[in-house]
Amino acid sequence: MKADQDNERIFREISSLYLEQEGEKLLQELADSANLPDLDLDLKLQKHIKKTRLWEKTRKALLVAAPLAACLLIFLFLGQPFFNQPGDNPSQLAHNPPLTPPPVTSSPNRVEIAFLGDKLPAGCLLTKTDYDNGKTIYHIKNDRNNDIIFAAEEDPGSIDTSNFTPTKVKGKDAYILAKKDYNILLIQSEGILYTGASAYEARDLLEIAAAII
Amino acid sequence: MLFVFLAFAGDAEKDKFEFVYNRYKKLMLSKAYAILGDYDLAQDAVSEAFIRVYKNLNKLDDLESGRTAAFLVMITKNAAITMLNKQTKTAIIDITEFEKADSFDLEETVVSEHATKELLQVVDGLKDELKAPFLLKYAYDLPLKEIGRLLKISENNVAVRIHRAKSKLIEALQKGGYGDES
Repeated sequence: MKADQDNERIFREISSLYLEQEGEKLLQELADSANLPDLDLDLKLQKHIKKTRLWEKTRKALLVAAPLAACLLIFLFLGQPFFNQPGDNPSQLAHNPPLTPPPVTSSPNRVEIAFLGDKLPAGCLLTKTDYDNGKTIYHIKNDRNNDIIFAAEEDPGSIDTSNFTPTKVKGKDAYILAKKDYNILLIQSEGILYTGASAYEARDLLEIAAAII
Repeated sequence: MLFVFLAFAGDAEKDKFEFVYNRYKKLMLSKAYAILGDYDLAQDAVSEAFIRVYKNLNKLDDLESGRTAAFLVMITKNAAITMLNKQTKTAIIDITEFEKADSFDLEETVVSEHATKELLQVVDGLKDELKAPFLLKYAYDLPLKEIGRLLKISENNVAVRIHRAKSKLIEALQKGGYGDES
């Protein structure tokens, strides 16, 4: 125990000493680097800032209502009869209709796509479903270890696709924003607007979109 | 004008960020370029580093100090390495690496100037992936969670990397004959 404490103290001292020396060297280099060209770094940073803001906004929009979603999930899954296979509970046999999809509450703007999990392409797993403010939010993981979020909401009609690249998914118009750190896909189908976001691989979004529309 | 999209707590914070940006951007660029070998990518890495710095402005006190320069360079190198790793898809550090004992008492060995020099060399020779979390913890006194956020790695990964760095320091001292494992 004492050895651990001593070591921690030594690590602190050594790292501070190292940093002091390294910092001095860097300050000298700083003067030397004054003449380096910084090309269009300002522009890059500005773009990066915009991207980050957009990504944060998207994430917030997709993830903001986790508690609501949790309530919905509880309602959807725990609200089901405990015995969900006909024959599991003989006393219910006569009363229970055949197994049907869990009922989805009908709020005015709610987009009801209860079984996205069944439609996902091979290698994708639906890990969580949230509901927020008219959006059903699906958290998906695929076998390339890509975390993907898909939100479905009532199609507002016109959507802002500036900065997006138009593409087609199963003949339908889709819009993709592929960046180094994230990708966003927008696609409208049968009165539903899907917004997909993933950290890597825009093609994962396209595959999922093709499977679910 | 450049930072019009960033939300700052006040003018002082904005001035601070602008000062840091203008003073260190070229140094950071040269460090990122040394890793990535491409100016375009290096600029991406530097802008990523500035986004991370923007979220941690409060960690910077004396803006003209070597300590601030070292902090910024560390974050830049990390951003550049992350970009490089994304391209080459390097293996994830194995969490089961916690086997090295912490029972070796450094204090008994780090008494001589020679041993201190040796340790400084080992720190210098550490890979940046290990060096950054180690320094952020011990020199900047940041909690693992914050280090993870800055370096964009999990808290577990931070702990593993720090442990690896410490093990390397102890190992080097043992190899150098400065002490035996107790």
